[in-house]
Amino acid sequence: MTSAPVWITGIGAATPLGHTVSQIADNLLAGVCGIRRITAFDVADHPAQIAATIDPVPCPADWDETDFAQLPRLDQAALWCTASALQDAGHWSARRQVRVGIVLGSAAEWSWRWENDVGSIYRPHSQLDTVTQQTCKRLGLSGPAVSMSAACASGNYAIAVARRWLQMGWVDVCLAGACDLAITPLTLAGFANLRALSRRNDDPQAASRPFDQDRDGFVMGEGGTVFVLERAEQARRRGARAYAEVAGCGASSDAYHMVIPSPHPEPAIAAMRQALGDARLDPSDVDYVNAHATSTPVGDQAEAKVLETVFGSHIEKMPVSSTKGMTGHLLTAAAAVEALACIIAMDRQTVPPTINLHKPDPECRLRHVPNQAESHRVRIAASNSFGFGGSNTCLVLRAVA
Amino acid sequence: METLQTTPIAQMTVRCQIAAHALLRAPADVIAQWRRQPIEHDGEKMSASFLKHAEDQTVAGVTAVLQACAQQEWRHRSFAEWGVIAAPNLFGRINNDRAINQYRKEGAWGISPHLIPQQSLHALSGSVSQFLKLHGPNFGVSGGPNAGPDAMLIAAAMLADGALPGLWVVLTGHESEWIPQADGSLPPAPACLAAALALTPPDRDETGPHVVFGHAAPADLAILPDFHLALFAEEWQTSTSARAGRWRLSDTLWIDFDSER
Repeated sequence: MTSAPVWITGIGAATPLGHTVSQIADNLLAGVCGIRRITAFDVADHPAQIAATIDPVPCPADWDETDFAQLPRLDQAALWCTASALQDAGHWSARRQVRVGIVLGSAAEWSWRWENDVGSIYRPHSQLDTVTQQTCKRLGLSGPAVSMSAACASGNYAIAVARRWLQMGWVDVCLAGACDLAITPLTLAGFANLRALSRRNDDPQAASRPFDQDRDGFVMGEGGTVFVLERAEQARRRGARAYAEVAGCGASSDAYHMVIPSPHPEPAIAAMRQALGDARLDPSDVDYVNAHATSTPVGDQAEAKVLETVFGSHIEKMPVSSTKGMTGHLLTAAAAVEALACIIAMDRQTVPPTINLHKPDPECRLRHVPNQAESHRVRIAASNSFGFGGSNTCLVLRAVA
Repeated sequence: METLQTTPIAQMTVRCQIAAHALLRAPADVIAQWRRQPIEHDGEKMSASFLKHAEDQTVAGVTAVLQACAQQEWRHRSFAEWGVIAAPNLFGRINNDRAINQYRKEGAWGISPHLIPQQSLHALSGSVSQFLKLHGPNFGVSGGPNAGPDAMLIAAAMLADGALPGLWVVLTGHESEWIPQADGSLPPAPACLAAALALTPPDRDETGPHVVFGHAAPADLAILPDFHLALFAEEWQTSTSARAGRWRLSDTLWIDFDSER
């Protein structure tokens, strides 16, 4: 296997902050919050009644609008993200002539279908494809096409697998990311009954407050982000725009509990160090960390300890922020959206803020970016994503000169 | 910007050894019994409630891994650096149906806090990781019908650079499709199937079943059926003339089962 560098050359996104990269960037850096009261279903008896939802998903260019309108919403999101990423990368017209693979994080697609009566739970499923496989067929790609889930860490795993397939020479181009539309009655109730969600229903815009002393849980979000990955040599030769190099990936498991983060920080530390080692970087090379920090009392503190250990004294000057105050927690899609936040930070040389951070938790001794974006040189960015099942992942992105 | 031309770089084949395997079939009453039975590895017992709220496929998958360990006498082996990927089949369907009906009757209050952690795609791999004290990567693949080939595509990627000392691949499903009824009734549970394969980088000194993943599959190659790799590993153990074979994993990728002794 070669260790050929792999670049991100296209992006497609559907997020609570918008459906184009420029719109998302503007909103992210302006500190806009996408969280509101849920109106898609009756939430009167739900302990948590707020979420970061997306606007209707636009139809991709060159796609039949009538056909698109008939697709289930999750399929629309996956199709929009993948098609617009291919268009952005300049691969749209040639997508059937080269080997294009696709790996999407998608934890909840079957429960989403069952709950929304898409492919009824009461009918045989033996011939049904995953959303990733359906998307692959709709786009006319030759695959491979695989869905995967490490809960909220899924997007980082998808990017790592895509990079590996490219380095193995199994694909020429690979779409990688995640889509998750989990704001449904069952999921909202399930997370709330786990006491994981904020109950600040009367003030949605202030509910998600990573690292703040008054945080009381996360706020669910929905959407997706998909990247086009290709080998750098190939991208350079065709004069493609490079958003970033996928410089390093690290992953580990707590092996502790299905839900509760391990009190032992070693596995999460190992994931970060593995990613930095993979990128051949010293911790002091990192310019910005997009933290997983979901706004839960336990998780944010645990991650702060991990960051302090990995970065040592560098933690005092390196900005760390969590964008979940604005986007909510996109669950399976969180890692992919936060990789986009890192790319935006590199592109605009500005670090997105942690909004609602008015009283920083003294146990989270980090160089925060409270409430307002900050101009900062960002060439190397790291994004942490941790998930149920004990998953820890870290993605390191490097600006391409 | 120019249109992409296919770049001729070396297309890697990945070879690994099936260091351990188990294939099981368990009727519902056996699953219920395993669920209550404390499990242990390396002298450490899991809490009695470890599998209490788990999906049946998690119970079967965890048991298959235990059986594979037992067959190789790996009771005290450390898997700390290993990874695990799991490809369950329509995971959580019955419990999601129950939850949908429960929500209709009782609203949000009626939804179990175990629904999301135990009935989601990553639950099986997370459970294996937890009881084997496995700190490498863990995640679920596909969750749809016929998930086996997808799991193998990912396994190849995970093992390609030799950084992992081993990878558990766990495949689960039911013998026939278990479809809940719209009137709230539930047909008897079909037997649950589970296969656990411990894949390791090849060791020159060892013989035994191997798998090879590669590129450029001929058009007429059949798709790998879900549990056949474990079935062939089983055959290899009991027969001197076990069949080798090659199957398709995707449009262009293949897997080869090599039963060399």
